Amino acid sequence: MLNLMKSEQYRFVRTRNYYFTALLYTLLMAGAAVVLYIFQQSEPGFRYGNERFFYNNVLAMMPVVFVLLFTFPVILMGDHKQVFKNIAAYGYSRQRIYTAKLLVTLAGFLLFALALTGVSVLLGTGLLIRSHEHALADYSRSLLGVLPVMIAGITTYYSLAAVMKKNTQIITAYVLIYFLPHYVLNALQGRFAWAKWLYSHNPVYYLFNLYNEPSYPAWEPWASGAVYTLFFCGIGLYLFNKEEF
Amino acid sequence: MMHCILEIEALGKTYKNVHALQDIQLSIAAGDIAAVIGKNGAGKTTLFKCVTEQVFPTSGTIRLYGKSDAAGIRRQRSKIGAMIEEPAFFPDFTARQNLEYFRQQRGIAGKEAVDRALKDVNLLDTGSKKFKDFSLGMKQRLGLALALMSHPALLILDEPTNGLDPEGKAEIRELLKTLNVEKKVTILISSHVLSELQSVATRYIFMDRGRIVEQLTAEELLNKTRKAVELVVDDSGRAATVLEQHFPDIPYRILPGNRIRLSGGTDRTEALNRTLYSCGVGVRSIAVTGEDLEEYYLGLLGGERHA
Repeated sequence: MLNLMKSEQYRFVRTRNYYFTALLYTLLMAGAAVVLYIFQQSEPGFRYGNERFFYNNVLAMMPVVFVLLFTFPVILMGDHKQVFKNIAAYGYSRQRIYTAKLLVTLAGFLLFALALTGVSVLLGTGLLIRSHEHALADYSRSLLGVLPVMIAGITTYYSLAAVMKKNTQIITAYVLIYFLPHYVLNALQGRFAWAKWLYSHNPVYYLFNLYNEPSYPAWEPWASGAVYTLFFCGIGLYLFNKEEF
Repeated sequence: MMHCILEIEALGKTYKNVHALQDIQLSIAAGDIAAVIGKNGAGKTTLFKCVTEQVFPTSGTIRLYGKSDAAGIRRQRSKIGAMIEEPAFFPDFTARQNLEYFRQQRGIAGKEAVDRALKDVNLLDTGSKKFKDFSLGMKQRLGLALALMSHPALLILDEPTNGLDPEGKAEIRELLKTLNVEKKVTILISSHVLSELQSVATRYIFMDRGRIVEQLTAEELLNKTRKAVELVVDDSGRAATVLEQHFPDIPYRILPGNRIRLSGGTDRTEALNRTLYSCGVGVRSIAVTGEDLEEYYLGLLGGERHA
């Protein structure tokens, strides 16, 4: 298992798409910070050139963007699936292959997330005004809260990529499973109490609402993320165990 | 007596309603070079895939180095080097990066193992060229390098010389012979080029429609195929009359150039010579000839020119 993870790590650090993802994400954040900075410098009455606005509003959608960007290289796993036959032929079980790749993918995600959070903080503190004392602490708390639902998103995507063959199928299934229920439940929540409960407890809800004043306990996104992660991880593993190459 | 390293009993594999393998009984002894021969769709690749767990058998048992339980057999698979169907690697990696990935995965000590494997298949100088830019022959060589890198005791090769030029094919043949003789590597191989198999194989396994129809050692095949007598006479018409009178049980064909080919009678060449001579037919030469593997295969399975 350790050897499998070692080799996956070797491949991961040499997968350029992850770096392109990080670069794109950095450029988006930097672009936003620089625009705020320029307006702050040129418009005396401009009220938004501060850290808090940058963290709470500008970066509000970034976790969603990051999940989508990060899953892009995983899409390519579909094209690499034939390589699995070499791994299975050497005696590694499907379970080990699946688990090792997932762990390395999640570890890579955490590393990238940490590095990019660092970049966002550098941009915020370096270019913008410190208007609120707790802006950084609130930002960190929000990110920590959204972490499990981001992991759920990546695990869901990974599970689909492990068992589906065509990229279009994977993307369609991902949108249907991860994002669509959020909008369907939103439409139903006015009519059904259970829909209202599910709407406010699905991972995408937490992903979209992390910067609003959280009206939910801190453990809720963790519980929701854990349920999604374990469920799709289990389903993916069950199906991957039957995969033939 | 050599011990069996691979034993297969009643193996079956069904894809939806198609029986890709049915009731396969097979045992491979250490040191064998076993050639699996059959038409496209005969089940050769599926058999190899079952042994390497790329697909799951529907029924039957596989015993590898004496182990048949799932965990035990998986541990024994680390002794296998396999190249089945088209070699699969990461397209954006070079040959060295691809092998390094698998070296780490297989826990093979020393980075020089990668260079050694590349050298064995003449791929050392591919530099920064990516796998996706390789020719089919180079891809095959890299697949073979991977199969060899872990010093396998059993090599499973599915059409390993596909896409190679004649020189490359000869190199691979020599490499396989050397591995078998010097390193005692057992080899299970299939190829569309039967003449290649005939020059390396010690055993033949003929498959048709998912079943094994015949298994022969190289010696048995030789005996079976050494079955024609070719005569060159001074008068083929007269010789034919003598043959019909004295050897009515041996079918024959008159060939151009006063040649006659007898399908049988390999153990009666002296009698043939004596009888023809005594009946006034001049015999210029008499020789026992045989079929090659391809002719034997065509006779057995009624196959196309290529298996």
